This record gives sequence, C-alpha cells and structure tokens, in this order.
Amino acid sequence: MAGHAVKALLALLLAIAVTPFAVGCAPRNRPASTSPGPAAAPMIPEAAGVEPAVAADPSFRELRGALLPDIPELPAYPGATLVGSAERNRPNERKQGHTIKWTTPDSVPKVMAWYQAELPKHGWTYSPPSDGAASEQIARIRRGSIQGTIAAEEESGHTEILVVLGPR
Amino acid sequence: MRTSIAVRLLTTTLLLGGSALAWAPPPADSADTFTFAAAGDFALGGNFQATAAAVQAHAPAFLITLGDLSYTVDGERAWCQYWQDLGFKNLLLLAGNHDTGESLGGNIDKYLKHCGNPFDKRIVGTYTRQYYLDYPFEAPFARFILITPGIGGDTGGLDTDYREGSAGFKFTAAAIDEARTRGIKWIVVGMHKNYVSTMEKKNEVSVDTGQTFFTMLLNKKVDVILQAHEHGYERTKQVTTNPSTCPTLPFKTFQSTCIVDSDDALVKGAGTVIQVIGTGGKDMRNLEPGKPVYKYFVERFAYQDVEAFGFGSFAMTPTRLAFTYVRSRGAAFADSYTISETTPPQPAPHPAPGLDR
Repeated sequence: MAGHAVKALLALLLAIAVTPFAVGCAPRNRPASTSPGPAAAPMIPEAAGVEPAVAADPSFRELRGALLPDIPELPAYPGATLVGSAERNRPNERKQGHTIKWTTPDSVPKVMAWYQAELPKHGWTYSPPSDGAASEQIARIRRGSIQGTIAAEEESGHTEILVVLGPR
Repeated sequence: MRTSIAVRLLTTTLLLGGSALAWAPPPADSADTFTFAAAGDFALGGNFQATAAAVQAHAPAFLITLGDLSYTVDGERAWCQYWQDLGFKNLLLLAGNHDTGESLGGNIDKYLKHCGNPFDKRIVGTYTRQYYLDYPFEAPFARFILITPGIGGDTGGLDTDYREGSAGFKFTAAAIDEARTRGIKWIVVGMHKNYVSTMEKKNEVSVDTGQTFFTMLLNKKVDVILQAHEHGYERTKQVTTNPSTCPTLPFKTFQSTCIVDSDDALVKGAGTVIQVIGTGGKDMRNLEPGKPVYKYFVERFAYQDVEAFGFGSFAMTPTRLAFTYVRSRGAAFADSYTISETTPPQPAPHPAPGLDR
C-alpha cells in the first residue's frame, strides 16, 4: 500500500515538473489553424492539485500546450504560443464548448486586426469590438451552430488571446 | 441655458433610442429617499456613451464607478469630459486594474484630476482607493464603502491584500461597525475584482486560507457587495455564513447551506447580495454555466449571447432597497429585487365586546 502511495506521489511530482516544459515547448509557429495537436493527456486541475492554466473552473478538463481533439477548426494567430485548451463543463456533464488560450508579444490591436481579416476566410463571422482600446478588445465570432468570443488583453508586456466557443 | 438643456435632452433621447428602452426616472430625492447608480468596465466607445447618457437621464444622486474606466492610455481627460459634457458630475471614482497600471489603461490619479471629487470633505479615507461616504448628508441612512482588494500596480501606498490583520481589513471592518453604531441602516461595499463568479474570473479579492476578508463581510451581513471586472451582469441569491454549515462561502464549489433566500423579495439583515455590474460599455465576455458556482446565482442573472449594457439603479429608503437594472443599449434584459425590513405582524383586531361570532 505504501509502495502505491509513493508511486502515485512520484507520478504527481513528475507531472508537475514536466508541465512547465510542456507549455514552454509548445511550438511557437503552429500551423495556422486549431487542428488537434499530438495526443497528450488531459487533466483535471482540481484532481491534480494545481490551478488551471486555461479552464474557467478547476473541475473542467484541460490540456496544456495542446488542443483537445474536438475543438472546431479556427485559424490560430501566427507565432503565438499555445498555453492550452479546456472544456467548459465538468466531465460527463452537458457540453458547453471550449476555451483556448495563446500568448504573443504582439499588440492587442495587431492581433485583433489579424483575426478580423483571417476569420471570414474560414467561414467565421467576425463582429468587431465596439472600441479600439490597446489594452483589451473583445470580438464576437460565429459559424454555423457555434458562437463565441475572441478576447485579446495586454498582460505584463505580452498579449493573452482567449478564445471561448460554445453552442448557439 | 434652456436651449442647452433642450439640446441635451434631445441628444439623450436620441442616444437612448427614443422611448424604446425600459427605464423610468427614479423618485425625486427627499430626506428619506434617494437613488444611486453603479456600474464598471466602461471604455470610450458607443456603449459607454449610451450608458453615460442613460445615467444622466436617470438622474441618480451619484454613480459608483466600479473601476476600469476608459481602458485607454491617456484616456482620462476624454472619459471625464464626456460625463461633464452630459452634465453629470456626481461620480464616485473607484480604481480597477486598468486604472492603476496593473493592466494597460489610464491612471486613477489623472481621473481624479479631470473628474474631480464632487463630495470632497464628505469622503472619509483615501478617495478613489479606500474610503467611505455616508448619504444623505444631513441624516445618513446608508454607508458606501469603496475599496480595492486585490488591485495591483500603483496602489497609492495602500496594502491591497485585505486579509485579516491588514490595514484594509481593519478599515473596512471598522467602517461597517461604526456605521452600525451610528444607526446607519444600509451598508453597501464596492470593489472592482471578484470573489465568486460564474463567468471567467477567479477569486482575486480574498485569497488567504479561510478567505478572511470576504468572510468578514458576510459575517457582518453587509447588505450588498458591488463588483465589476467581469464584463457582464451577475446577481447571487442572498447568501450568508454560519458557524455550523457555512463558515465561509466556497468560491469554487456550491454550498447550498450558504443560501438564505432565492427569490426577489429579500429580508434585510438576513444576508448579502453580491452583484457584478461590469456593464458600463466594454464588450461582454462569456457566462460559464458549467461552473459549479452557477447555482449561487439567480436564474436570470447574466449574459450568454446577450449584450445589454447599462447600470444598476438602487432606490433607497431607511427601510427598503429596490434594485432595477437599467438598460442603456443592446438586447432586452431585466432584473429587479427588493430588500426590506420585516414589519412585525399586526395583532389581530379584537372582536367588539358583546358581538357574538
């Protein structure tokens, strides 16, 4: 019994130790879409005893440095670092959609201008932000039965890109 | 002068889209009634302009600005000037993370310079960051405590970690206790950041073990806690702590025993309503209905794909608070509730002597 406990502790420590590298090593120049990345193990932050990196709640499944397999295709900002993706519901509960987070050194207006130009090419409707603040902008996007937001916000010298998708 | 007022009224009417919007002017202030308004997360776009015009038309005694004002570097003058051009000057300023340098945006000290301090010496504490105001001035029955827990950047020398033992904790607790000692009936606490939310933000205002600051507010049964930060609207059911089944309000999980009342006719002194009114104009973010804490909130509490900008209107008397959400722009949305002192039951009338029943 004690052996199992030690193994479990070691596994947890290894996961915690590896996670920052996994995030840091996420390819900066991903293909320009949200095609699923290489298979990796999603985790529930609450169960792992860590704070979520992407999920809006620690009880939601998240995958760091990669995309969950059922995320709709969406162009990804060139050169952005993928922090990870998450579900918006607890496992085995009603599907609420997904959250995806990237970071980039580029400015908020530059990021949003790129999405405004690129999303319509992929069938998305883009409703631009109502103001052009350099600190934070939020646009509404929609395609078929999916809707959501793209939020770009300046955070300590870099821009955080948060895409939230859900059913209409 | 009359022309100016007429033009302003016409402009306001146009901005509000004529009579299509559901709002009503508050009752005229008197010694025992007044209305205040509250909202945060404004920016400088058309949504903000619509909200500002709606506030001016509503004519509250003052507007509590719950932080994140223009979101724009050097936007302070334009933001304040817009209010002044409308003729609304009674802004109670409170700093958000986009106003202190924690996140990109304006500078709260410059907002103070351009917007001014309409209540000047009535303010107790450090205006824009940690202070309170009693209202009405002559015979106050409400205290507004406006504070900045969890705010980073330039904090003006204040410690914004409000955990037990800190200066901010002591300031707030003393302001509540002193108000009660003076017989001031209503306690409204305003801050920018969130404790429990079913949108995207996490607890940023009371992060120590035991959540000592927020628990103190709930233990003392302040009537209403106002917040912004989340771009949207949320209202909790009336919640409270108790030593046996809800020593603290869990902010990641739902605890039904922390709920005291789930309807819209609440009893004063039974608990606290937490309201997020980040609807001043910045584009909305998303509800997260999959979060366990969703159940803390009343059913029609926030937005999913609905953007209805506006502000909260609170009509106050010494014994009753009546809240109404006032929409300034966007889709249809309504919310209202009351908090009232319970009146003792009237004794049943005695039958007249000699009257057979």
